[in-house]
Amino acid sequence: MTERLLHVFQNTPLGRESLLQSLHFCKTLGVDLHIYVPESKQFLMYFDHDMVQVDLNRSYLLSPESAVDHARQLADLFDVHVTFLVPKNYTAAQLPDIPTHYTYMCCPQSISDLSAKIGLGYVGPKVWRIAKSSTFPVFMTGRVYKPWTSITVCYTGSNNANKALRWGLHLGHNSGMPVELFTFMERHNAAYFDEQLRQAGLWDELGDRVSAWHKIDRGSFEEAFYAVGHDTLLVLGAYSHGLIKVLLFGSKTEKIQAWMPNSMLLVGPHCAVEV
Amino acid sequence: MPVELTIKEVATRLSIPMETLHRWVRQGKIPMQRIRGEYVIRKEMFERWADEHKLNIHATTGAVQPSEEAAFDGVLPAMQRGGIFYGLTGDSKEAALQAAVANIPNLERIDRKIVFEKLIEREQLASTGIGHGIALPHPRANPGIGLMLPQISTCFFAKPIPYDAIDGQPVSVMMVLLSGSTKLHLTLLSKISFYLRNRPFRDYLLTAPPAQALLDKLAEMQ
Amino acid sequence: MLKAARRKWAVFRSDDRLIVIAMAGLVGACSGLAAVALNRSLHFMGTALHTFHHHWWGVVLPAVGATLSAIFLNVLLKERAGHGVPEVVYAVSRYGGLLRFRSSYSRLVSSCLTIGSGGSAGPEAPVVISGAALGSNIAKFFSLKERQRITLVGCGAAGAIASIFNAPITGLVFTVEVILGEWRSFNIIPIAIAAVAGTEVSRLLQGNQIVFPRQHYTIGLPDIAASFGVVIVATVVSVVLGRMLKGMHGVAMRTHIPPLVRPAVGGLAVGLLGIYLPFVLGEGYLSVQQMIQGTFSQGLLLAILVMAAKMLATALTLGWGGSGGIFAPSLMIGSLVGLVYHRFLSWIMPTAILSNEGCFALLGMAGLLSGMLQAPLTGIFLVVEITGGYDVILPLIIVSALTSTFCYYIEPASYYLRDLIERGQFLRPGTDARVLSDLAVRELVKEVPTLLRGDMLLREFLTILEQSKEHLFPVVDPHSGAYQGMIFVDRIRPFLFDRQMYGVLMIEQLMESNVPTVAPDDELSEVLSLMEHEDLEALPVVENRRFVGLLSKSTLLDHYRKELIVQAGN
Repeated sequence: MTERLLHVFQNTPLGRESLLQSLHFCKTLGVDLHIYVPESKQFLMYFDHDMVQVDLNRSYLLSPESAVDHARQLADLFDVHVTFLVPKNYTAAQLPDIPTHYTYMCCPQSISDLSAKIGLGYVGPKVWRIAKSSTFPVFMTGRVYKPWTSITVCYTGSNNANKALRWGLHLGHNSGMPVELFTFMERHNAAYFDEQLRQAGLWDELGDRVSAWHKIDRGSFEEAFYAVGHDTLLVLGAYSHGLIKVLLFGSKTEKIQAWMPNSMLLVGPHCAVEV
Repeated sequence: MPVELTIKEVATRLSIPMETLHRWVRQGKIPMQRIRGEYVIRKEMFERWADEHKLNIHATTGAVQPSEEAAFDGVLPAMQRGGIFYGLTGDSKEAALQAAVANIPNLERIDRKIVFEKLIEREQLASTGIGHGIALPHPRANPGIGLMLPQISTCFFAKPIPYDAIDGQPVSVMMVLLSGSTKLHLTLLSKISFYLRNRPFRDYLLTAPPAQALLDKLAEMQ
Repeated sequence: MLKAARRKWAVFRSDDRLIVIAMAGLVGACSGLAAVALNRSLHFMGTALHTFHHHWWGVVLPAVGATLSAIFLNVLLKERAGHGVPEVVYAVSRYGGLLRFRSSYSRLVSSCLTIGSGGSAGPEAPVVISGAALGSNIAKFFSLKERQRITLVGCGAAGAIASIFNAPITGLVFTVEVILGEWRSFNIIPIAIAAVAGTEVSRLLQGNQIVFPRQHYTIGLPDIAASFGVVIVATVVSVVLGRMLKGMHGVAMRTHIPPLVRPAVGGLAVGLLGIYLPFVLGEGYLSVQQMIQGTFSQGLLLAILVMAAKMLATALTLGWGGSGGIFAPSLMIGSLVGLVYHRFLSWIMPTAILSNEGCFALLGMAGLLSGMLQAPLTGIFLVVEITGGYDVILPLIIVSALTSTFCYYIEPASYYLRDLIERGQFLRPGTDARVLSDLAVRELVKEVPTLLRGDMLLREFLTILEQSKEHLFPVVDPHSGAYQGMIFVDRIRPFLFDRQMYGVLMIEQLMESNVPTVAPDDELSEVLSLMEHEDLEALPVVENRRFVGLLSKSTLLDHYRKELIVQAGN
C-alpha cells in the first residue's frame, strides 16, 4: 500500500509555509497527501495504546470557506494529488476522531494551543505525545519553506537512533537523495558507534547507501551541529534518554529542535520500517 | 528451549494478513508476548489457542510441499512413455481397442481391464474419432489407476476400422490417452488436438512413419 | 534469583485473567473513592447552599453553578462531551476502551457544580465515566491489551455505581447490561471484584448505610394486578421524559445564545421552578426517601405537579448544557409515578386492599429506570439492594421487564445509547456490526497478479486469459498507471468467441468504467451494502487513482468467520 502523509491545514501564511514543506516531502518521496481542514478546535487521535486530544488554536479555524481552495492551489503547484479527510467518527459532537493509520504526520513545531511558541524551537507537548504513541514518524516543519536536497540522520547509537537510521535509509531510497550520518561523539569513541550499528544489523546496509558520516568529537554540542547542512532534512529518534534525565536536563531532541532551523522527521519508539 | 513463533509465522499458519494479526495482538485476542521488541508465542500455546477457537492451522511455508500432481511435461515425453505400435488388427471398434489396450505399457493386468471398460464407456457416449482417419480414445475421467505421468500410446492399424468418426471415415491411427489426474488429462488432450489440427503433420502421421521419425517430426514442430 | 522472579512475572503477565483480577480490585477501589468524593461534596454543597435558596436571589444559583460547570468542562478542560455514558460505550466498542485521563475527574467537578447548586441531574453518569476513565488509564499505565482494558473500564464503572448506591450487584449488572453488553466469565469475575472493592471503600468511608432504609411490605394478589398499571404509567412517563430531553436539547441548539451562556438559561429556569417547588432542585434523593417511607405528605394534585416540574427541570438542566446524568432524576420521577398511581387507585377504589404507597414508589422507580435505560435487570437489582429486602421482588420483575419491553417498542433506543445508535456506532461484541467495524478494507484487499493496459488488443488479452485463473481484471492507463475500469470476463463472453474481433477491439472498449470503487479507508458495512446494491462479487479498491487490489465476497467471508470466532472467544 502506498505511503500517506496526514497534514492538518492551517489557513494562514504560516500554515501555507507548513503545507509547502509537506508538499515538497510528498513530491520527493512519492507519498500521498491527505489534508484535514479542521472543522472544530479539538480532535482526537486514537493510537494503539494511548489517545491524544489535540487542541488547535483559533487560527486553525480561520476562513474555512477558502481553506480547501487554498490547499488545492498549493498542491497544483507541486502537481501532487490531495485527498481531503472528512472525519467519519465522532467521540462527541465537535470532537472528531482522526484516523491514525498514516505513514507520516505533519505537525508544525507546536500543534498545541501555545501558538506564540511556534518556531521558537519548542516541541509542543502534544507533538511529543503523538510521536511517543504513534506508529508513524512526525514530520516537523520549520517556519518557512525551504526545499531540502539531502537527508541527515542524527545518530546517537541508541535503540531509537537505529530506528531513525532505518527511516533515514528508507527516505533516501524513496527519494534518491543522498543520506548522511551525523554523530556528536560525547564520551564514546568512534568504534562504539560502529559496534552499535553492527549489533543492530545495520552495518552492512550503510556501505553503499550512506554518502558521508560526520563524526564530530570536538567543541560543544551546539557547535558541532554547524556540520549539518542547511538544506537537509534532519531525522531524529524521539526518545533517546531516560525520563528522569529528560526532566533534569531537557531532552537532546528538544535541544536540537531549538537549535536547528531545518525540517525534521521525529521517529518515535513505535515506528517500524523495513530497510 | 521452547519453539517460539513470530507474528509472521503465526500469520502464515492462520493464513490471515499481518495487519489482522497485529490488530488481534493489540486487542488481546491472541496471547502473544512482546519479547525483545518482537511479539512471539510458544508453539504449543498457539496450537492450543487455535484448537480452542477451532481455527485451522495451515502447513508451514518452511518445507516445500511435494505437489500432488506431476507437472505436465509436454506431448513428446508422453508419446515416448506411451509407445508406438504398428500393424494392429481388429475388425470392430471393440476389437481394435482391445488390441490397443493389450499393447499399452506401464499397466497392471487388472488395470488393463478397467481401462478398456472406461474407454468403451466413453465411446458409447460419443465417438472419439476426430476425423481424417484418426481417433483419440480416452477415458471420461481419471480411471483410478496408479499412473504418475500421462502417456499417449500411438497404434497404427493394418486396415482401417469403422469407427463412427465425425466425418464418417474409418480410423487407421489411434492415439490412446491415459493419465493419473483429470487436469493433466485435459491439458494433454488439448495439446494433442492442437498438433493434429496441423494438416501436414496429420498427413505424415497417416503414412505410419517409423517411430523415431515421428518423434523427431513432433520435436521439430514444438 | 532476579531472573527467576522475572520469569514468574512473565508467567503472571501471560495469563490475562490473573492480572485483570488483580487490577480490578485497584480500579474498583479508585472509582469507589471518586464516587464517595462526589457524594461527599454534593452533601457539603447541599448544606452550605441550603440557606441561600431561601433568599430571592437563590434563583440564580443553579444558573451560576451550571455556567461554572460548563466553563470548567469546555474552556478549562476542553472536554467537549455530554454526560459520559455514551462516550464510555463508544470507547469500549470502537477503541478498546481508550478514555482520556482528564475524563476521570472532569465530570466529577462539573456535575458537582451543576447538581450542588440546584440543577436537576444525577451524579451517577459522572461517576461512571470517572471510574471508567480511571480503569482505562490504569490499564494503559500497565500497558494491558485492549480486551483487558475493556474489562477494567467495566470495573471502573461497576466500582463507581456500587459505591454510590452501596450496592455491589447493581454495579455488576449495570456494567454488564449497559456498558459492556456481554456476559462472559472473563469479564464478570473481575467486575464483581471491582464492585465489591467499590462498595467496601464506600462502607469504610461513609458507613454501611442503606440509601433508602428497609421497610416491610406485604404483597398480595391485588398488588400484582395493580403493578400492570404501573407499567403503563411508567412507560408513558419514560417516553415523555425521553422526548422532553431530546426536544429541549434541540431547542437549546437552535437558539443563537452562545454555548457558554446556554447552561445559565436552563439553570435560571430551574431556579424559578425551585421557588415554588423546591423538590425539583438537586438529585432528589431526599424526596425519594420520603416517598419510600410514606412520609411524603403532599396531596395527589401537588404530587402530579411535582412530577411534571421535576421532568421539566431535568430537561432544562440537561438539555441546556448542565452536567450530570439521568439516573437520579429517573429514580425520583419514578417514585412519584408510583406514588401518584397509588393515590389515584386509593381515591377511585377506596376499598381495595393494596400495599402502602412506599411499595408503589419502589415499583415506579424500577419501572422508570428500566424504561429510560432499557436495562431491566439494573432496575430490579437496584431496588432490591437499596431497600435491602426481597419483599417486592415479584411485582418488581413484572414492572421492570414489561416497562423496558414496551419502551423498546415505542422508542427503540434508550437515553444512553440513542446518540450511538443514531450515528450507527452501537457495536456490541459478537454482532455483525462489530465484526465489520473491526475488519478494515486494507486487511481484505487481495492483490491481483495481472493488470491490463487500456490499449491492449483483445487478442493479447486472450493469451493472458488462457494462463490466468481470474475472471476479473483491472484496467489501468498505460501512461499514468491510473485505474480506468474493470473487465468482467463473464460480461464480454460474446466477443471472446468472435475471431474477427480479436484484432479490432481494445480492452478500453470492453471494460466497464462505471464500477463503483472502494477506498482503503471505507467502512466495511458501506462496502458490503454497495456490493449488494450493485450485485457484484468483488469491488476494485482504488487509492489516489491507483489500483490497489480486489475486495471479494469470498475473502470477506473467510475473514469474517475467523474474526467472529476470535471475537466470540472459546
